[in-house]
Amino acid sequence: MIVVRKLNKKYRKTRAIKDIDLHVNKGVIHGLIGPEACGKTTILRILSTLVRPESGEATINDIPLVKGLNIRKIIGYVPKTPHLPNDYTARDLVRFAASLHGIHDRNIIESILKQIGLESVADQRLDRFSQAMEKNVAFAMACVHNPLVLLLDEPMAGLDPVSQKRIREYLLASNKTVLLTGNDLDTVDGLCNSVTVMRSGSVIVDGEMASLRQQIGKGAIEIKLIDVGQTQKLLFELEKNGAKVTVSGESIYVHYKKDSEIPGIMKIAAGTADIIDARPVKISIDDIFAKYHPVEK
Amino acid sequence: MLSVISGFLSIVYNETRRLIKSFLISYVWFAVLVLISTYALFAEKYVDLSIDGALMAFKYVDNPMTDVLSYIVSFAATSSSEVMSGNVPTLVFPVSIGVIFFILVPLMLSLTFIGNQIIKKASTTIAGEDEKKTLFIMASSPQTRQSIYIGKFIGLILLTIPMIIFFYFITDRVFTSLFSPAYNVGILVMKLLFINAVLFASAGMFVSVLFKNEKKASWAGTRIVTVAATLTSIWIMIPFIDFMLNLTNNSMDFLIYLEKLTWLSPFTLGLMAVYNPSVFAGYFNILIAASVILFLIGMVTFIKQDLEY
Repeated sequence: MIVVRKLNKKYRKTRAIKDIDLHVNKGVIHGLIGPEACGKTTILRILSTLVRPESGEATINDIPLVKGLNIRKIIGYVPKTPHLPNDYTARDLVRFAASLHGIHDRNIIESILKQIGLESVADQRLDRFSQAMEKNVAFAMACVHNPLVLLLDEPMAGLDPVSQKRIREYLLASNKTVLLTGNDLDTVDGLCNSVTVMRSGSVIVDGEMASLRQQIGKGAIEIKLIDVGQTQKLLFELEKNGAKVTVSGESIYVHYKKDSEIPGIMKIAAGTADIIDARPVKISIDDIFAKYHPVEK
Repeated sequence: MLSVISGFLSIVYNETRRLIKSFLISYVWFAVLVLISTYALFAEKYVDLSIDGALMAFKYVDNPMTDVLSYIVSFAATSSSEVMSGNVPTLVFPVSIGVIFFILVPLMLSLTFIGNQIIKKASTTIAGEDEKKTLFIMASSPQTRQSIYIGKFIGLILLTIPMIIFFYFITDRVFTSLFSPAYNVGILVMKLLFINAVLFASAGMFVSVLFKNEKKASWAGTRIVTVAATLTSIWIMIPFIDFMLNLTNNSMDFLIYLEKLTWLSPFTLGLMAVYNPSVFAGYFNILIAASVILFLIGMVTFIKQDLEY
């Protein structure tokens, strides 16, 4: 569990974050979302004890930041662009990261290399690695001691789709408390249970993804049909059952107020027409800024 | 606790392993330079003679060059009759002059070589990682900043051990075979080279945390050795300058202050300590104190720094 209260940090005259409050429950994947230089990375750096805050307090699993050594025992940190010494092999680096935690069991090292998909390139030096592969190595290094909390700075940035999928699957299956950052909501869609949206060092809004969709009026499912000729029939059936429906192009948007309405909507849609695709409507950071921070938009 | 100690040992191992690859050429150069400079000593003959210090009075008691000058003047005076009769006088050095040659050439060479190599590595050890942004690997692990700093420091010191041991054996060989009547300074030299390495490693690491740029830190580090070596060279030359000014009846008062200035160089203190073993402990303690101060300032600076990765 991560708890942050009134956290502030200044870099010379620039205020990086201002009175940040954050609460991430145990076992939850939480996204810190915002544009560049909004203070997301600073929060991760503070939580990973690389940077000291000006004021405020933070705890990870009830351990205050001042007990840096105890914090670092239970966290794994991956920077946005990890810079690794390129005269090492991936295995050497993961082994070194493990040894820093007092882990010397080869099976653990081999296991994490396998989980992150690095086993076939583990003995190659990093100067042959792409940026995406280096990020995978950094991820393996951060996870080798099986940390309770993962702090990931834009984990999907620069990764190929296969690596993205692998890391997504790893995070979803891991049951760890994860705090990750992203530039927009679509980068964390389907991964984060909750998000905090930031701008200019301050929190704009936070909450669960579904709740945010509702708050900004995008609590909707986008449905696409195999045969667009069935659109009218589906509209009729949905409206008959009280759903608010709009059409845009080949997409049908079914609006709902509570998540509990979703199974009923899907049941009607599936019984009425042949569905090719159905997914929650994506919300963008602009939607959030438009609602909660209209002055700066 | 065990895991933290084990992690600390891996920092030391990793640092030594990383540095040693780039240090292999330095070992070869060191061995070649020391062997050549020591071999040159074997070209002369040394006898158990005492030098008449009363012939010339110098104020610089711990400067070995005073003995060299006294010996040259005394040799010139005693061999003048031979020269006048057309014979070439045989130059035989007293053992004490041989020891001074050893102090001024192989020992000074070793001090500056080790100092220069270690400060180059030390000044880039944190600055380099800072610039390359690789320090987060250790800084986000359950190792304290102190452990990282000390681990890197020990790694640096371990690099110099082969050179110090090599030079100890060379010193021992020279003193047992060539200068056998003289006091064997092998152990003193070993202690001196070690504290010299510790001091320059501390200074280099302090520079390394001050400059977050590898190139600038390396430049500043090597300048420290250059300044120290220059001061010691001036110190060596002071009796000669005194002698020349004396001959030309010029004022020599400023030389006292100049000599004191040259004591700022650890090489000067080192050479003085080996030349006069009775003051070794005092000068050695000064070097220890300087090392500890630089080490602590560097470590505290590093602990207080933000690592923006």
